[in-house]
Amino acid sequence: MKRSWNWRIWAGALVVIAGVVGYQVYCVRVPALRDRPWLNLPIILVGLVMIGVGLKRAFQQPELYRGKIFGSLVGGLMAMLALFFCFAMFIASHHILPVTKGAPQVGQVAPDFTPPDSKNEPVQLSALLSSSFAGNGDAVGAAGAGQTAGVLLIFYRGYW
Amino acid sequence: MIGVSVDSPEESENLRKSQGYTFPILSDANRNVIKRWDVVHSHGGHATHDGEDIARPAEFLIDSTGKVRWVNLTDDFVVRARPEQALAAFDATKK
Repeated sequence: MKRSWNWRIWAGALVVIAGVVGYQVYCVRVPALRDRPWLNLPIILVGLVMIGVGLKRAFQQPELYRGKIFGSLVGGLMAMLALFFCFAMFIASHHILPVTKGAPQVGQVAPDFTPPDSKNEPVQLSALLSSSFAGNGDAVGAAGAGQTAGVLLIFYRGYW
Repeated sequence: MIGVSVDSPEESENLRKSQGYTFPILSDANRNVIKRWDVVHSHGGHATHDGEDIARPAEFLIDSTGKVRWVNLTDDFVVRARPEQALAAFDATKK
C-alpha cells in the first residue's frame, strides 16, 4: 500500500513560515500588531501543532504515513525558527538600541537646529516655535491658525 | 510635527511623496542635530551603508517657549511612540 505523504508536516511548516514572514510584510504596518506579535504567535503555534500531529502519525503509523526522517528535520527547523522569532521579538529587541543619557530632558531647553527639509529649505526649530502661522500645510500647527502650541519632533532611523 | 533622519533631502522627499506624508522631514546628513541631541545610534545603519551612525528612534514635544515637555526614548527596537501618547503629552502642556 502506498504511504500517505503526510501533508500536515509540510502544511504546518508553511504556516510557521507564514507566521514569521507575515510579521515583516504585514504586521509591522498595523499599529495594533506591531509592538507585540499577538497575531503571529498563534499562527506559528498552529503550524507547530500541525507538524506535531503529522510527526505523531509518521511515528505511530509508519506503514500509513511518511515523514519520520524528513518530517523530523522540518519539525526541528521550524521549532528553531519559532524560537528565533520569539528571541528576536522579546529579547533581542531590547538590546539593539543604545542607552541614551545626554538627550534633552523634560524641562530643559531644546537645542536649536537648522537642517534642510526635503525640499532643501532650511528649517529652524526656534523659528517654528515662535512663528504664528496660518496652517501653511507643511509645518503642522496643532492649533491650526495662530500661535504655535509646540513642536512634536520625531527622530527616525531613516532608510525608507 | 517634524521628522529628522540622516537620509538626504531627496530620499526624504521620495518618502513623503510615496507615503503622502505632509509633515516636513529634515535631513541631518552631517549628523549635527542627532549629535547635539545625543540621539545617535552608533553604527546602527544598514550593513549596506557600512553601518554608519544614524538616529535612534526618539520623540520630543517642545512647547512654544522652547522647553522640552515630553520625551519618549524607547528601549525596545520594535516599540515606538503611539500617536495617542504624543497627543496626551500635548494635552498635558495646555494645562
